[in-house]
Amino acid sequence: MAFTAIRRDEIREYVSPRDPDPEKPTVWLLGALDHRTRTYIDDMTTEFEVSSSSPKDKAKVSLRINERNFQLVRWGLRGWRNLLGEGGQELAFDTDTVSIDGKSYKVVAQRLMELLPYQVIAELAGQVDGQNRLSEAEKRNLG
Amino acid sequence: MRSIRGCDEPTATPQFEFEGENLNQCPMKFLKRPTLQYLRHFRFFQMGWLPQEGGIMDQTAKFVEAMEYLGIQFAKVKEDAQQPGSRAYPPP
Repeated sequence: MAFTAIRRDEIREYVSPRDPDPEKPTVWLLGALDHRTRTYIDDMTTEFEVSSSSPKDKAKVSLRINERNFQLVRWGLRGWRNLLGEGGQELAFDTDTVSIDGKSYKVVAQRLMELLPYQVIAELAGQVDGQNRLSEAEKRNLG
Repeated sequence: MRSIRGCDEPTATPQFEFEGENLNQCPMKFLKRPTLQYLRHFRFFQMGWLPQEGGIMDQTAKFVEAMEYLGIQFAKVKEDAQQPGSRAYPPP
């Protein structure tokens, strides 16, 4: 079934084309972000600077891209299969509980996030971001 | 009705026009499954029924984006339909 992200519990399985073990690759379980989380990540990682002397000029936008990638994965990654840790043992998925505006969410445990390589986080963040937005093809089909 | 609209087989002559192009098949056949689901939910959304419990912040980001996008598209169609000589059908 297609991943529509209409419901929060929808999951899409993703295997990286760059996985070092194509025989038994890591399967990443990527989920849907709710509107509160999306705006929280956007607000946390985006800054707009308006010139006080020329307020009609275009605002300068700064994006904290690494922080954004980290948060997208922390909130969008719902599990995995076949992820091996040190010593070749399968790494168990675990979560921390975090709240936004009084609502509790289970997100990837901080200690596990710290084990994921930078390139993996960047790749997974791209997938989480993409599947939680309308693509141009989807917009054309809707329009 | 299905054969007239080209729901199963293309019709001999075009029955629909989309963005200046004549279609001899039902336009619904071009819509992908997620699009049909978003359209279905758009009607519920207009009545205030949401797919997830809670308010708008509890809905998925993509759902909110899709509803906003559909709202804009339907408003455009409605505006076009009100133009003199328009062949567009006003949305329900």
